[in-house]
Amino acid sequence: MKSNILFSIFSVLLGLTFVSCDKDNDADTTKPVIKLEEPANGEVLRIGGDVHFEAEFSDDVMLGSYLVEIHSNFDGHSHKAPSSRATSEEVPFFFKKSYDLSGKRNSHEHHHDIVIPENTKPGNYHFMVYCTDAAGNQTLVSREVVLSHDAEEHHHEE
Amino acid sequence: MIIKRTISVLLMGLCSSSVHYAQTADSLKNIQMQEVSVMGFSRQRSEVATLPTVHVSAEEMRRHLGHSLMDALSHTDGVRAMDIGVGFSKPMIRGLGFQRVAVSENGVKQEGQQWGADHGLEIDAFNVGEVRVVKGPASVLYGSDAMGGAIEILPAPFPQKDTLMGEALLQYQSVSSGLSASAMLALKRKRFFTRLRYSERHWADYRVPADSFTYLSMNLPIHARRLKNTAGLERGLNWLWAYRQGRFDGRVVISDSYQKAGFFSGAHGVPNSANLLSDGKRWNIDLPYSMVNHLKVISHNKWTGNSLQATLVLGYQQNHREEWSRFHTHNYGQQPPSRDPDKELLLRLHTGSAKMQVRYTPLSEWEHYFGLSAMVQKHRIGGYGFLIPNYNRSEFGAYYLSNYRMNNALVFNASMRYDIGRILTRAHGQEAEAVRRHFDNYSFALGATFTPDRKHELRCSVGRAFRLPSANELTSNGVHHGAFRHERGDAALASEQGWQADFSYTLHTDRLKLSVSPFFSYYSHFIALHPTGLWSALPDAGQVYQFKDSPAWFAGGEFRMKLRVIRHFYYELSGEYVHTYDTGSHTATPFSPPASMRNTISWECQRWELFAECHSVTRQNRVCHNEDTTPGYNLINVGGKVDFPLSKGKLSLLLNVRNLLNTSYLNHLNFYRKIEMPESGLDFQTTILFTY
Repeated sequence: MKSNILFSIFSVLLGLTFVSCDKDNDADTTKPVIKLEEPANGEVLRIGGDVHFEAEFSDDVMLGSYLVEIHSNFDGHSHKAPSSRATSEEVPFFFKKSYDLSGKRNSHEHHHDIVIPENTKPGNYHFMVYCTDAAGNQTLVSREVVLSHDAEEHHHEE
Repeated sequence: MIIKRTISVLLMGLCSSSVHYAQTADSLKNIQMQEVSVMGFSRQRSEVATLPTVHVSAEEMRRHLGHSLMDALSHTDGVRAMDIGVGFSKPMIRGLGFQRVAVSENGVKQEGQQWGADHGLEIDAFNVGEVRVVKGPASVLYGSDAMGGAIEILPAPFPQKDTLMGEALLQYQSVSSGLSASAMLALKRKRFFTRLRYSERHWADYRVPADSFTYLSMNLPIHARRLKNTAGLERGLNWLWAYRQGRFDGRVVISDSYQKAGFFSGAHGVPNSANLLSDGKRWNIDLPYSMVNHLKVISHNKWTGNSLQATLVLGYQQNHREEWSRFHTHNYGQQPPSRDPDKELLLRLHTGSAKMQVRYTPLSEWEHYFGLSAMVQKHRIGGYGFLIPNYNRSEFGAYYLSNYRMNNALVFNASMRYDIGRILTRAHGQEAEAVRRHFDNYSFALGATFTPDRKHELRCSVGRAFRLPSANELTSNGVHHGAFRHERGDAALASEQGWQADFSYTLHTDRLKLSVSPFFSYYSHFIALHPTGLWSALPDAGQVYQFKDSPAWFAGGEFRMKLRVIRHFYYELSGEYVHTYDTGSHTATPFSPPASMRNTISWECQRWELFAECHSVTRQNRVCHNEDTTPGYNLINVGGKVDFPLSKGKLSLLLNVRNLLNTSYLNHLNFYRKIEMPESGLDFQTTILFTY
């Protein structure tokens, strides 16, 4: 009867829905993957030393670039401006540098580019690694690290 | 109730066949029309009858009355609520939201900061009666911004008899321990009518059915299953004063809406386990938070002659928004300001608007509308953060609409509009340069309504709409915590243009109500944010997102069926879907709503009602860049309503139980979705309403 017609109309509508749902995007919307091996969460980094950075980047299509950023997290907030009232020589550490990964689908990155100067103010910091793929998909890994004068110096295997 | 419905059904049939032109609610020259407005309101007529329009009666709005206006409206086909936690939400129509949907109250378009992902709608939900929703391009009626559709909150009807009316409402919501109270008093004496309403709502940190959430590969705790700092409050005052004498009908409405709500600490910047520790308080609003005050003064004047009707609407509104967050900066070296060091953003928008319309009806078959509209805006900023600059904006439009009734079954409609707009933004430090842009554009709509008998109705329309780029799309340059990314405007953007073809069929019998409305729309310059792959120079920002325009299309439709199975027992099925595609990014457009379906059974008597609903939402795999796919879910909602007639007045009790099975799910359209925050679980909502 009437309801039969109705249900057939609705099943058509529903069918349309599911067809459309099963079809994914034409473009790459899969985010790249960051496996950050070093530094670990909560790791204490030595002021005056360099940071052992080790990470594995991968993407299903093509990687773009990655960015390492370290900024202070003294008050529990992510990024406060340096205070002008600071009388000591110590300044909050800020690091930001990007590295190209274009043309690769997988990349193992290992470097000691990050040098923490002696006059760095010790405390809690955010260690952030961003990675984009060629399509602009972005992944972010954030770690809470501590910068301190009396951290153990890491040993180089090589 | 059923009697009332039958009457309104009969009346609707009557209206559409014989007194179609007399339905404008307050036209004075016809007596029949007054009967219509008393009985049902089912067909308060819009100027463009052929546009896909849905009426939501005051009764229906009350039935789904939740914590916000959008809560009630999201039961309308094609309309979705974009939630910000459980406190606020804003409308989305057929996949378009933000500044693409115009919301108007008493004939004046609400002007706030609609573009912001974490900005809600500043309207007192308890003060809203009947609502008209226009799905699809409606800029021919409402000007720029109504490109995706419009939500028109209709004015309260002028009572026929001298009365004193009152209403008191109390509402409790368990998920956020929310308490709302609203009181209304109205008086009609001869030519005067006045109505005053005050509403207040307080809610605490809301509960979620989860102990932790995962964000940016960090597993973060949710203490006591309550989201820290999501408490808030809302106050609304609305005063209407109306005067009617002879051919003149005038109204003045003054309203003020205030909202203050905390932002969940985990969604503001990079979450930090220290920030998420419970402060032991559920009701406090701590930093970061936002507050908005929206003031509106509207004067609505109408003069009705024999074949002429002139309307003049004047409006002033001020939207004052502040966002507070402990001082931090994205510009290295910036010092905290000496006064209000934690005031991150102040955005104050003044809007003045005027609209003049003349309706000319030389013959009963032919109706003409001529209109002029003007709007000027001044936007001023403050605070240590920067997002959008100071700007001045003005828009002027002229339109002509015409309805021609060929015979009892066929009505044609044509409308056209031409607008010019100008925006002037000021330079702001390093971040933004001054921009001076001039736009002009046209919109039109053509349509027909075919009503062969009182059971069937067919409508179709084709229309073109446009939208002027907003200040944030032209000039923004900064990290908005609401979006947590660096957004950059493009001063050279063209105005957005779109076409929509729409069709709808409605069947209306004693036992069955059915409507199907498919649509297709194409936007030749659809403005959206796209990732650039370039790293922002600002700290904590990731890559830069740039506003770009590219062609996009939307296709989908809505379906609704309500069947009377036996006497008072109804079965209702509704569904909607929209497929979005941005040809620039080759992905879906941002915030594409997943398909949704509601199966409802209800028992509706005169005094009481009961319903049970299964709300199914499919998974959303069609996302744009850096949006996450969202799994589907099924929710069971039940509720009911009882009326107790008193010697004077009526007492109503409403109970809504949302998410009966306490399902943990994600809402693709919720602002907190991106931090993988589940939606609220089992929620009891009780309302006591006393009407006098």
